[in-house]
Amino acid sequence: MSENDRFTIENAYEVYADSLLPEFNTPTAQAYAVRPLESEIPTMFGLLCDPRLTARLDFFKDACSITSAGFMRAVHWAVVKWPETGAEHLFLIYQMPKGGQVAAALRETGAGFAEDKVIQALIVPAVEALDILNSYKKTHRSIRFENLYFTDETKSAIVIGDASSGPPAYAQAAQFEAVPIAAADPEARGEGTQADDIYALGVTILSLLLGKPPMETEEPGVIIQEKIAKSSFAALMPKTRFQFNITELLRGMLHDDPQLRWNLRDIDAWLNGRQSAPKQLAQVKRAAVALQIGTEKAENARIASYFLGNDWPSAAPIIRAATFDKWLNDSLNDSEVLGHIRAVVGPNQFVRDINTIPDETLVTNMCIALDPTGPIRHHGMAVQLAGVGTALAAHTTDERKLNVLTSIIRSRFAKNWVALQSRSQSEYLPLLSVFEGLPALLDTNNWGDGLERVLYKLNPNSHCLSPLLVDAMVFDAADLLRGLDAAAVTQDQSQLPFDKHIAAFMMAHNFPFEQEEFDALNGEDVPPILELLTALSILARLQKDLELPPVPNLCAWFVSLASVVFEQFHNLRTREAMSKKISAVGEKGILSDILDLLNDGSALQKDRVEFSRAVKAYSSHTEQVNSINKVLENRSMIAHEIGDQVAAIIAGIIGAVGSSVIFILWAIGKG
Amino acid sequence: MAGKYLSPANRVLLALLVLSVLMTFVPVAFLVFFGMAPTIVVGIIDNRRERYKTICIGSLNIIGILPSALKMFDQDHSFERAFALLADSSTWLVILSATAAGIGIAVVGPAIISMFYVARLEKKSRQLKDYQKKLRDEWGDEVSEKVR
Repeated sequence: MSENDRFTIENAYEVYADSLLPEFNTPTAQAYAVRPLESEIPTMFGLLCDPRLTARLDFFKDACSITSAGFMRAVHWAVVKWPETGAEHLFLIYQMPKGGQVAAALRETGAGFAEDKVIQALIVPAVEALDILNSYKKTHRSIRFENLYFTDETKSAIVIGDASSGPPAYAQAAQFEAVPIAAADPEARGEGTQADDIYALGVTILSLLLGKPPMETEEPGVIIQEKIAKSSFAALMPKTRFQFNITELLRGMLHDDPQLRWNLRDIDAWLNGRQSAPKQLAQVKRAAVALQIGTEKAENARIASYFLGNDWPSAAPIIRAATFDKWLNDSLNDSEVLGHIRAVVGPNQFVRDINTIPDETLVTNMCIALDPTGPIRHHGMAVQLAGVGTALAAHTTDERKLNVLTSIIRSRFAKNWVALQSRSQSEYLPLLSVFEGLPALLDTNNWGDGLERVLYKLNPNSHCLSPLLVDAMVFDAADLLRGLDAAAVTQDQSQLPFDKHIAAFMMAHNFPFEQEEFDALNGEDVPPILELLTALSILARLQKDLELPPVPNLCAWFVSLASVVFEQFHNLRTREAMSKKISAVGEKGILSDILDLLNDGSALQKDRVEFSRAVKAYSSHTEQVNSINKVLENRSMIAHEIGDQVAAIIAGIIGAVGSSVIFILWAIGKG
Repeated sequence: MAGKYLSPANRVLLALLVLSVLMTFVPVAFLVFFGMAPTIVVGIIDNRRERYKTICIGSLNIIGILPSALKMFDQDHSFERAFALLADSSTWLVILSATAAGIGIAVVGPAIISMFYVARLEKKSRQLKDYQKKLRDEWGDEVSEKVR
C-alpha cells in the first residue's frame, strides 16, 4: 500500500484511497477503508460519492446524530480531493459493520432466514430506526436486500446501510418500490413518505425469508405490470407458504394504497402479538376489451397510463382515435377515471373532440387522469413531482431531458397531478406552491433566475453544479471562492470564472447580494468588459465581506482576462505598465485590489484626453509632411522660384554693401 | 509705375528735374551708361517678369563702374575724362570682372540655394515623421487611423 494514497481528514480519520471495499459499494459511490486515528486498524469505511449526482447531505447530517440498532452508524462527512483524479468528492464515513453483507451470505447458502430470525435481526431494529427517522421528518428510501449488513461476526443483528450517497430511491430495484415510485425514473423519485419506506422494508423482509429478492430475474417493466395487474402482494408473494402471521405482516406492508398500508404502529402492534384488521387488496377495475398500445394490451387504466407514457410517439394518435373513446366509455366504463379525465383534460364527452390542447399536454394529462398515483409522464420521462429537482440536477448536461423537465414545469402539470391525489391535499400544498412559482422563474431567464435558480430552489442542499466547478464540491460561499481558485488550474481561462449556475447558487443560498446586482449581465450582447467587471466586483465583495482567504489562482484567471480592460486604454505604455502592475497585485490573491486597478475611471479619462491630443498632433504633422512632399516633388521649380529669387537678393546685398564700401573708401580718401 | 499716379504738371516738373540733373552729371552719366552696357543687354534678353538675373548682374555691374564714376568727381568731370576712362582697359577689366561675378551668382546661385533648401525641407520632413513614429509607439496605430 502506497503512503501517497493515504490522507487524513481533519486530523481524525485516515483514508486508505487504495483500499477499495466492494461489499460496501453502492450504485452511486465506492467504498474505501478509513482508520480513526485512535485505532490501529481501519474500523470505518467511507463512500466516495459520484459528483454528477446530488447526494442527500441533509439526510446524512441528521443520520450522524441518530444512534439506532437498525441503521449503519453514520460518523462524519467531508469534501476530499481524491488522489487518483484530483477532483473533489463528497466522502461519507460510516462505522464498518463487521459481519459483512447479508445478501452475499444468503446467496452463498442459497436459503433464507427463518421468520424468527428476520423479526429479531431486522424488523424490530428497523421499525425502531424508522420511528426515530420519522421524528426528524426524514425518509430512508434505500431499504433493500443488497443494503443490509451484519453488525458483527455472530451475524445475529442486521443494520440497513447507506441512504445518502445518491438521490432518494435512486438505487432501488422495481421490486422494492410501490408502482408509483418504481415506474418513475431512478433520478426522479423524490423523498417519498414513510409508507414508501415501509413498503421497501416489507419487500426486504420477504427477500430475507426467500434468500433472494422476489421476481429477481424479471425485467422492471414486467414487475411493474405484474404489480398493477395483480397487486404488489400477489405479484411478489411466492408459492412458498410462510407462517400466517408473517404473511399478514407482508400483506399489510405491501398494500398498494399508502393510506391502507400498515404504518409503524400497526407493525409494532403485530410485533407485540396484537391482531390487526386484515387489509383487503385493492380491486383493479379491468376493461372488458384490452386497449392496443403498440405491441402491448392494456387491460386497465393504470397499465394504459404506463404503456402510453412508455410509447410516447404513438400515444397522441392513440388517444385522439375514436377507438380510445370507445374503450374508455364502453370497455373500461370506470366512472372515477372518467371523472379524472373531465377534471384535467376537459369536459368534452369524447377525447377526439378536444382540439385546443397540444398533443404533448393531452398525453401527459391523460396519463395523470388514467393513473393519478403514478408519476407524471412526459416525452418518455416519468417523474414524481418531488423528484423533478433531483432529475434536473442529474441531467444538467442533457439538453433534451432538461427541456422535458422544464416543459413539465411550464405546463403546470403539478396542479392537475395534485388535484387528483387521493391523499390529503394539504400534504402537497407546500410542494404545489413551490411549483406554481417556477414557470415565472424559468421565463425570466436572467442571471440569478432561470433554469439554474429552479434547480437550486428544488435542491436546496445540492452542491453547485456549474461546469466551471466540475472538479469541486461547493456547498457555501467559502467553498465557492476556494472551488473557483482550484478550477483556475484546470479550466479554460478564456471564459469568465462566473456563470448562471454560480449566480443562481448564490441567490438560492442567500448570499449577501441583491438580484439587481446581476442585472448588468442580462441580455445577449453584454460587452465583455462589463461581464468581467461585474463578475469581479461580486466575487471581490464576497471575499471582502466574508473575510475569505486569498485566491491567487482565481486572481491570475481574472488577470488573464484583464486585457479587455487594458484595451480601453489607448496608450500602449499605460497598458504595459498596468499589465505588469496587475500581475504583481494578482499574486497577492485579493480580488478587490484587481478590481480597484481595473476600475480606475480617472486614469481612463486622462488617457482619453491625451489620446485626443495625440491624434490632433499626428494629423497636423501629416498635413505638414504632405505639403513638404508636394514641394519636393518638383525640385526644378524650387531652383526656378526660390533659387533665382534668393540669388537676386544675395547679389543685391553684395551690390549694396560693395557700393557702400567703395563710396565710403572714396569719401575717406577725399577727406 | 510712379508716372501713373502723377498729375501732368508734376510730370513736367519731374522731367525738368531729371533733365537738369542729367545736364549737371552728363559726363558721369555717359560713363555709367556705357559701363552698365552688360546689364542693359541682360535686361533686354531677361524675359522673366521679376528680372532676377538682371538684378544679380546689375548689382555687381554697379560695383564695377562705381570706382571709375567716383574718379570723375575727384579729377575732372568732363566728357574728355569720361572718354579717357572708357578707353582705359583697366576700367573695363574692373567692370567686366564685377559683371562676371554677377553672372556667376545668377547662373550657379539658384542651384546651390535650391540644394540647401531641399535639404532643409527633407530634414524637417524627417523630424515630423520621427515625431509621428514616437506617437505611434506610444499610442499604437490607432492614433494614425483616426486621421481623416
